[in-house]
Amino acid sequence: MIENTMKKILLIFILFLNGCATTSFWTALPNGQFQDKRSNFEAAVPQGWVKLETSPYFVITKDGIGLNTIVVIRQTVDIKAEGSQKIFEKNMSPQELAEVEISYLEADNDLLKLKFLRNELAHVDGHDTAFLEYKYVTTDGLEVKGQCYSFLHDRQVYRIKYEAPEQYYFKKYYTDFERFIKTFRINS
Amino acid sequence: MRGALVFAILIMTACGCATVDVPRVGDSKYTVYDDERRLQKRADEICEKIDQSRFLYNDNQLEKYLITTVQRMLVSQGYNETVKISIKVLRDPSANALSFCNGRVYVFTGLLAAMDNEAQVATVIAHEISHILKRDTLREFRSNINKTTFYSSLTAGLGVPSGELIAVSSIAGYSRELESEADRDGFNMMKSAGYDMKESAKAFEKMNEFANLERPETQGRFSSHPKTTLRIENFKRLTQENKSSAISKPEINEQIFKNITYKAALEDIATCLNARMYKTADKVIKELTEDNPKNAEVYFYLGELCRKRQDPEANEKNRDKAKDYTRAIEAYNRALMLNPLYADALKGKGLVLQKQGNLAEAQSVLSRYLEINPKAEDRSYIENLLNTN
Repeated sequence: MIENTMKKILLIFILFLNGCATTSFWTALPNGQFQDKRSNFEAAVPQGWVKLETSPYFVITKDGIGLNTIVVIRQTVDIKAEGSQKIFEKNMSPQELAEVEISYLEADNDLLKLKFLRNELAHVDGHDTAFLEYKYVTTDGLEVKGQCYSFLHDRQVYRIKYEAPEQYYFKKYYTDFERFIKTFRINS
Repeated sequence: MRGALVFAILIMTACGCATVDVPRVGDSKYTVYDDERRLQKRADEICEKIDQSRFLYNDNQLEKYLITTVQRMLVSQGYNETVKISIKVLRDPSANALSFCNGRVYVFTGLLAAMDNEAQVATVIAHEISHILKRDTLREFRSNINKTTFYSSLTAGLGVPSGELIAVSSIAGYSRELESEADRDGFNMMKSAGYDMKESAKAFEKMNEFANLERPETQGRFSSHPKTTLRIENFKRLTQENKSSAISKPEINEQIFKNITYKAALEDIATCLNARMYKTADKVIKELTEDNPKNAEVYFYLGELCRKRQDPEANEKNRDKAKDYTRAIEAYNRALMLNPLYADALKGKGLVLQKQGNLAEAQSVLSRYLEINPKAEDRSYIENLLNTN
């Protein structure tokens, strides 16, 4: 009797596991774009880039996490992010979004010699967007360059980041990121 | 049996805490030991990283002033020029200072903003110098007290392993015995330099007051120096004990201190605003406004505080910014009365007017901002606002 009950529990458990494993948030669309259902957006993922399934955010990389990444973070306004000193608010202007984004980067203790190269207005999917270009040195001495676009959509902040070592890698896949930004669409 | 075990543990603990006697820096028997040389070399490397980091605040006049204060105290104690102390200022909102075994003292902008006069800051610096002269790093190192795990989060931004920073600096504090010695020696140093003894306890009272303004999660990265209340009592007791030997006209040098540290205090406000330490920023602004009622910068920062202040505990409906915006406009106007070409104050005012829905005036003020500051880095944002209006 006990053995049968155990078998049933095991079977239910296995079925449950399968159910979870097959739930994919990342799907290909007929127009060649890919859609992230969880974060409610679609974009053209450059050829050869792969998605990191273990991250809570949308993360893709071409050569590996340390060499090039595109990250999309969607977060609700008014909620303090871990480790940051400021919060995004609903009616912030792009300039204020940039201020918060700068404080996020400055609060990251692993970014040494952080320097902001550009801080200007941009547009992503028709939204007024804060655009930052920056560079920093990792604790291992690697010089990394990054770009970050931040914009508000309803009560969500979308933060799209591209980072790669300044030497060789940043330029090499920059056009991939440009295409990703140009094709980025929020699904209403 | 249990009694014997407790006794054995007590003996072991006492041995662990026991400090090592070494000649002071500058004494006739003073010589640099091999293990100390290694500690100093590592301290040099760490200081180099700190000096290259964004935390270093460069102000030659301020550094010269602080080193003069240090030399005044060293000379009064009979130390000659073979004792090498260097001093730098760090952007950090903690009301604190930090010393390294290689003779480097870092004073934080938060300390300079919190102190009222030279005598107070001299007390804190004298305490740190005392650690260097008594070679407390070496003594603590040899007594083998390991505090590494408690302070691992403090050092990441500097790219320095926390254990190494603790091993070669005063960041984690020393044993109670060494801290009390440093209090006593520091007190004697500031007293013999002619400073008012009463300011010593006040210095630590102010440090304590500033440390308690913010919740722990928003305090500065170096805000860990312990036992401040204990030190206040130490200094009050020392002042009482030395009453009979007090000089007739002790110095506090308030005005010169405030003049020279003014810019560093403004920098501290900016650092506090970035770190969301609004209560500290508010306090520093109030004190600066009282001392500098005709300086436009102070009112500009008051405007910035009112514009940027966020209360993450309040939900969106309860986060009424209307009052803050009215105060912000008043502060920016005051700054602009004192300096009509103050571009940043114009921008701040324009952004608040925009938030208030006063679009016509916002347009006029922001246009003026771009006119005064044609190479503004945020031109694209402002032009977009002007076009939207």
